[in-house]
Amino acid sequence: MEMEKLIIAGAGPAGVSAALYAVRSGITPLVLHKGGGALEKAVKIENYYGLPEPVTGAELYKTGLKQLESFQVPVVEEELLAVEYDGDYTVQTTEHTYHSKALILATGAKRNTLALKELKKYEGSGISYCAVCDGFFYRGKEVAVLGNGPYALHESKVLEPLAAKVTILTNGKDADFQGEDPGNIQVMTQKVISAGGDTALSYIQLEDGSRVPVSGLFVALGTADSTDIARKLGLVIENNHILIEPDTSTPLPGLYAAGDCTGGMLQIAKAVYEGALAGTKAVSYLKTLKKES
Amino acid sequence: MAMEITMDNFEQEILNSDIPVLIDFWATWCMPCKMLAPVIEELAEEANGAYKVGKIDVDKSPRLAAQFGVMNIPTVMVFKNGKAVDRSVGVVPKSNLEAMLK
Repeated sequence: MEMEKLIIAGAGPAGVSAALYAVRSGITPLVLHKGGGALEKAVKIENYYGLPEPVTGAELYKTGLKQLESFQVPVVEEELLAVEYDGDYTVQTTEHTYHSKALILATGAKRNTLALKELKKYEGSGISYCAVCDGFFYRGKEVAVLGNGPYALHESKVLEPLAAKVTILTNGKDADFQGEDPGNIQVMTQKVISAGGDTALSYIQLEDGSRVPVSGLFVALGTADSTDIARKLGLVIENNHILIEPDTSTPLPGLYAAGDCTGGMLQIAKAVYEGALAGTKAVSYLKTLKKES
Repeated sequence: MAMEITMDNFEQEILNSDIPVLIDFWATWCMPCKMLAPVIEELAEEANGAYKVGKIDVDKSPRLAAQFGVMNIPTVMVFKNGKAVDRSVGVVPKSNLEAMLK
């Protein structure tokens, strides 16, 4: 089994900055990314240091990747699916499984949250964000997974051996599982209007008025972002952001988070600072491991 | 140390308790539960007779989890006078759990 020293998930301002500080401190990380997220959508950036002319977010993202290339940092374009911790980190993507001693989460923050008022109401009584934690409670029951990509399919596959039936609800989007076969998992593409039930969730209502009977709805919108991963690792999530220490560390040894996923100002300047700190701290952590061994 | 609650001692320790009881529903295979466990133990150490802290392993006591409609772990519930008065889902800061006991 090949063991990386450091994996950085995300190649935006936080991820690239973390990688630059790590590589200049003698640790070459492996960077995983899947597109530029919020940055790529920014039409004009003119409030960041050193820009005499405005640039687009997409340009800046490409520049960041080029910068990594100039430092010979390996970068792979693969979608993150899951992370496990057992003393080391196991990072699963759509293509491979990687292992590392330290991990920096810097994939940005999800913008495509679902405005479904019942999500909060049934949290704890039917709504879940973690198939591997809560699938246990839905043995022999019908469940749905909300999402339309490989992450939703991954969560569905976790639930399939337990639940009586798993349905993926794409909420009006096209299903794109990147070539993976959903097998017996039903895929419904209509828009989700509401969720209901007496004390616990019992159905999801779709745009045409039909109801999908479910005991559980697992939310797996878009790609698995840093917050999704952190929640499953047991970090505290507040207002959909990862709670970190001022030095970007978390309660798990060797795990750091930086950028939009930690909340605060959703700005490049803040992401770059946190990335620099996370990269530096991750290297210090790896050096302590080396001394101990 | 947080006491283990099962069907056998549930009535005595929770329903008949004169003081508030904080219960952590958890499982050995649940990573977020492992992360919350030290916080639960700290609360148990700091109780000083003002409240009790217990843990229910949902694998060993699935009926208790079902009885209280627990569908996510970790779930923390607070019981006062034998009744569930508050619940929290997922890993939360210690201050949130302390507030539930007040």
